[in-house]
Amino acid sequence: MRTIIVTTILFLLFSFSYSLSKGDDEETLSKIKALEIKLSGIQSKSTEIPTEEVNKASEWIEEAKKSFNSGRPGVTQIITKKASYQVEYLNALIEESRVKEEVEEKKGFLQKIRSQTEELKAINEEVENEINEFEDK
Amino acid sequence: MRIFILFIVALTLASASKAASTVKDIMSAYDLLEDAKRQGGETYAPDVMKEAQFFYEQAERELKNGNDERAEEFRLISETRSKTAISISRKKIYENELQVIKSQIDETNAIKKNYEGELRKNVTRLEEIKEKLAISQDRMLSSALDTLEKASGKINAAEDVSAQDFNSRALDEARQTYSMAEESLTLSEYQKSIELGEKAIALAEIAYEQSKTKFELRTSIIDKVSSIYGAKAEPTKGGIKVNLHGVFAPSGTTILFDALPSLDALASVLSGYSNLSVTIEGYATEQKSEEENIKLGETQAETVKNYLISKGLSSQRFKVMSAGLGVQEGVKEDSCIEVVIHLFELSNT
Repeated sequence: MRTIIVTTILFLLFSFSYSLSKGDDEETLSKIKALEIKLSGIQSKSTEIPTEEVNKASEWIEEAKKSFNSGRPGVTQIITKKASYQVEYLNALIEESRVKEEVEEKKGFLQKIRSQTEELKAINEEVENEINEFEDK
Repeated sequence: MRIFILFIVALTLASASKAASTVKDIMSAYDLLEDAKRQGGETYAPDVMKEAQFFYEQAERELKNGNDERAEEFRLISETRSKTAISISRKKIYENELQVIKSQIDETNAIKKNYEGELRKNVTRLEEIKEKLAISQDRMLSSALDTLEKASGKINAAEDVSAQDFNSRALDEARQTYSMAEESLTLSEYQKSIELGEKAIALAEIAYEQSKTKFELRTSIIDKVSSIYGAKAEPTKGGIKVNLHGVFAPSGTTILFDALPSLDALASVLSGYSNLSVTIEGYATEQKSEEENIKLGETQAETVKNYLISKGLSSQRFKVMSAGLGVQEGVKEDSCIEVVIHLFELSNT
């Protein structure tokens, strides 16, 4: 009787552990897939990012996949995290590039309206001089 | 045995080389972390910086434990996080710069708008001034033309009353000023033309006013004298010149009987203008010498003067002269008498 109870408990523990492990695997896999999709989006969105950094992300995702397939959950988790941070870094680079571009654009615009203002000022001075000349007559 | 020792040494060296490489990589992660701090990572991306720091420490720990593979992974993660923090910091710096630029754009736009408004206002004002000036110029031209026309009329009026004889200076000045006014008009100096035109009018008016009375007086005297037999009257610059022929016989000093009615008529005319002085000038003939002619002329003039005094005229009015020019130019053929009635030199009697 004792043997039956112990065997049943062990079976249940094993089953529970297995199901937990299976759940973790699915989550890791979905994370890797999500990273792949994000990277693909980044690649299609921006050409400003250094290719070396994009390749790194791609390489690490592949590494994570291999590690997952070889059944090394601990290592897979670290590599996935590494790939995930690299994708985040790529996004940061995109944001940085976008803001930098906006700065350049605004600088150009500022320069343009400054020169327009100077032009207006010069024209205004000419008109004022003409008025003064007429008033002096 | 030797081979075995060599193998052990090679293995040890390879292991040492690998360890040195890992340590070197760890140092690069540390440098990157420091770089991220310098670029403001702790301010702009504190969470990311904490992670970078955490993974760097993990890498160090794993390295110490001899777990190189894990150490490498943590090092890579630490580096990625440091680079992310740097990128976020740079983005923040760009954002700050963007804010400054935006505020400069707003300021510049406000200045620009202000200039636009001012320019619009000034252009409108300039157009108004130009319009007014054009109207004013038209008016000035019209006024200048009117003034010149009036000045011309005044000058003509002054000429009509022989201002050239009575106040030639004012008339000449009026004419000269009129010419200057015309010149100014052709140069579009309307205001100057008007001023000169008005000056010409004033001068012409003076010439007219000062000449009119004398002109009328002279005309009246000429009319009266012209009706006397043997007398020929003509206007001169300051009065009237009356030539009387046949008053004396050639080289004679006695008034001929036939001339007496004419002298009586002349005395009658002169009595009507008691304030005018009279010069009587005797001419001789060419047959005599110059000296004789002078004496004869004087005698004849004196004779006429005495005759006129005998008719009740004041002796103070008369002045006697002799042309006595002999054969020179101006000698009369028939020993005439010239009576000049002065309009300017009025006597006190």
